Amino acid sequence: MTELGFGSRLPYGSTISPECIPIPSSIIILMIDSTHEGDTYWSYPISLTCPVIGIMVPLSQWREEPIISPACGAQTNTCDDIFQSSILLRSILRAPLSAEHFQCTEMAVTESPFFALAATLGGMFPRCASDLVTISVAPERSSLCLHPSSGCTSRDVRPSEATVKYSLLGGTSSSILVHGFPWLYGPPGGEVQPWGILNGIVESKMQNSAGISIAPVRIMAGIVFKPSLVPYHQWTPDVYEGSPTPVVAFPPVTSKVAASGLATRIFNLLSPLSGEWHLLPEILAILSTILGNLIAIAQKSMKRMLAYPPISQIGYITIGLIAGNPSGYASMLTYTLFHIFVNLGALARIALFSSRTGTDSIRDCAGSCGQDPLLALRPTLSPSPLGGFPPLSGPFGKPYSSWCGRQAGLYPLVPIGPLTSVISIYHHSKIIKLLMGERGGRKLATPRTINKRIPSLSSPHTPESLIELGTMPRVVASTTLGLTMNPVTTTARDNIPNQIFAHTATILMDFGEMSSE
Amino acid sequence: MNNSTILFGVLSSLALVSGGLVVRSGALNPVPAVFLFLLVFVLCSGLLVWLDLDFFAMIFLVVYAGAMVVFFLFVVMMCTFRREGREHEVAPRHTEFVVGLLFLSHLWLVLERSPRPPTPSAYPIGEHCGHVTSATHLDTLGTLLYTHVPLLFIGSGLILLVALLGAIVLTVHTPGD
Repeated sequence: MTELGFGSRLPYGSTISPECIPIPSSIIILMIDSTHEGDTYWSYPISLTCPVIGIMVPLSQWREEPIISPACGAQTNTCDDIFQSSILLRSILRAPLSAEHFQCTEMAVTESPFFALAATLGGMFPRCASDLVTISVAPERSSLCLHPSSGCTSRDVRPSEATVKYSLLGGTSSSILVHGFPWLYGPPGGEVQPWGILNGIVESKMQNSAGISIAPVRIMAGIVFKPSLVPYHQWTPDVYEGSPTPVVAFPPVTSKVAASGLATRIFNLLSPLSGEWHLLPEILAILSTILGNLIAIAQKSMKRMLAYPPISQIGYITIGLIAGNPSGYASMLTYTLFHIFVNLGALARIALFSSRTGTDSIRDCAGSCGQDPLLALRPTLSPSPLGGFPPLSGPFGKPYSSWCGRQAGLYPLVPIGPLTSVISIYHHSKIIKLLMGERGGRKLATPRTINKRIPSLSSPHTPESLIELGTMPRVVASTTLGLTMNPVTTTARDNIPNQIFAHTATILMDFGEMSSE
Repeated sequence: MNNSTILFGVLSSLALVSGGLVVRSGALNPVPAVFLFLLVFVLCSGLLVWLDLDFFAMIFLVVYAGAMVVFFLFVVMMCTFRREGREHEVAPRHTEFVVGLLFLSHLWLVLERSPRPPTPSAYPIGEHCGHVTSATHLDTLGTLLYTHVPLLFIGSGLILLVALLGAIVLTVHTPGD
C-alpha cells in the first residue's frame, strides 16, 4: 500500500483522512459564528474549501487493493472512494447556490453550511462501515443532518412541514432497519463483522432458519427509504416542494448517493444469505422506474415534477446493484454520477426559470416561449432527467443498466428501461408543447435580473453571479456528460476491485457445500 | 460515619432535592427544570460510580444526558414560555471560542497523538481488549473509544451536536419571527 499526499500525515493512515476534514471545518464554522457578529458570508468559503480538499485526498491516494484501516476497522476499496468523491462533489456544487440564496433572502443561517458539512460527513461514513454497528448507524449520520438542513433554510411553513414529515418517516424507517440487525447478530453467535456473520451462520447451520430470512426483509425495508424507492418515496416530493429551489436537491441527492454506497455493503452481506434476496429489490426497482415516471406526468408544480425522475433513476441504480458484478457496479457508479449532475442541472435551470416567472406551476409557464425563447429553452432542457432526447445526458445510463440486468439474468428488469423512456419522452414533449404553445400564462417578471444583475460575472461576490457560476458547470455537465459515457463506464469498471465479489463467491460456495451435505 | 457514607448521603440527598425542584420549577419555567433534570442524572451516575458500576455510570450519562436531553430541548423549544421581561444580554463571546479551541485541540490529540493501535487482523474491534488482564471498565472503554474507534466516537458526538442544533434551528423561527 502506498500512501501519498495529505492523508499519510495522519497516524491512522490515509483511510479515514477524508472523513477527518469536515469535522474540524464544521467546528470552526460554529466557533467563528458564535464569536463573530454580523455578516456570516465567510462560512460559505469554508464549506466550499472543505469538500475540495476532501475530494483531493481519495484522488491522491488512488489504490488498487482494498485496505483495512486500524482505526474503526474501516475497510475501503476504490468503489467506496468513488462514492465518497460523489458525495464531496455534490457538496462542492451545492455551496455557491446556497450562498446566493442566503444572501438574497438575508437569512444568514450559519447552521446551514454546518448541517451540509455534517451531512457530507455522514454520507462519507458508509465507507467506514465494516461492522453491523457502523452499518446501522451510518445511514442515520447522514439522514439526521439532512432533516434540519431541508427545514432551516426558510421561514416559511412548508419547509418545516416537509422537515417534520421527513424526520418522522426517517425515524420509522430507521427503527425498522435497526430491528433487522439483531437477527444477524444473534444466530451466528454474536458476530459483528460481515464475514464473521456469514461464517457463523455456515458453522451453526442456521442458513435456512426463519430468523435469517427475516433479517434481509427488515434491513431492506429500512434501507430503501433513504434512496426513496417506491413504497417509501413520499418524502421526496414534499422536501422538493418545501425547500427553496437553489438548495432543494441537497437532501434527496445526498441521501441517494450515501444509501447506494451503503447498499453495496449490505447487499454483499445479504446476497449469500438467500438465493432469492434480489427478488425484493427487483420488484421495488420495477415499481420505482414505472411509478416515478407515471406520477411525474400528473404533477402541476415544476418542483414536484422534478422530484419524481430521481425516484425512477434510483430504480436504474438499483439494477446495477442487484446485478452484483463489476459491470453492474460500474453502471451504478456511472448512473449515480449522471444522477448528481442531471438533477442539479435541472434544478439550477428551474431556479433561474422560476426566478423570472415567479411561479413553480407548469401551467403558468404556458406560452413563455413567445415572450423569451432563451428562457423557455431552460425548462425544455431541464426535464432531461425524465429521459429526454439523446444529446442530453438523461437517457444515456439506461441502456447500460438494462444491459447489465440482462447479463446478470434479471430479465424482468430489461424491458423497463425502454418502456419508461417512452413515458418520459411523452412527458417531455408535453412540456415542450406547453411552453411553445399559445400565450396563456402569466406575464414574465420584469427582466431586472437579466439586465442589471445577472451579467455581472466580473464581480464574483454579487449573488446572481454566484448562481450563474454555480449553474454553468451543472448545465454543461448535464447536457454533455452523456457523450463521455463510455470512458466513464470503462474507468469505473476497471477500478472496481474484484475482491469484493470474490469474497461473496467463496461464501456462496460454502453455503452450497452446506446445503448439499 | 466514613467518607463513603458521607459521599453517598451528599449525592443522594442532592439528587432527591434536584428531583423535587424539577417538579417545582417545571410548572414555572421549563428551562431550569431541564437543567435540574440533567443534574439529577449526573448525581445518579455519581452514585453508580460510588457503587463501582462505572460502566453503568457512563451509559447512564451517554443515554440520558445525550439522547434524552436533546428530546427535552426539543420540547422546551416548542413551548412558548414567557421571558419575564428580561432582555437578552450580549454575553461575552470569548467563552465559545475557548470551548471550540479546546474541542479542536482534543480532536487533534485524539487523532494525532494517541498511541497507534497494533496492526489488527480482519476483526480489529475488541480483539486486543481481551488480552488486557487487569483493567477497569473505564480503562477498557477509554482504550476502545480513543484508540480503536476514535473517528466513530467523534462522529457520534457530532450526531448529538447536530441533534441539539437541529432542535434549536427548527423550533426557533416562530411564526411571528
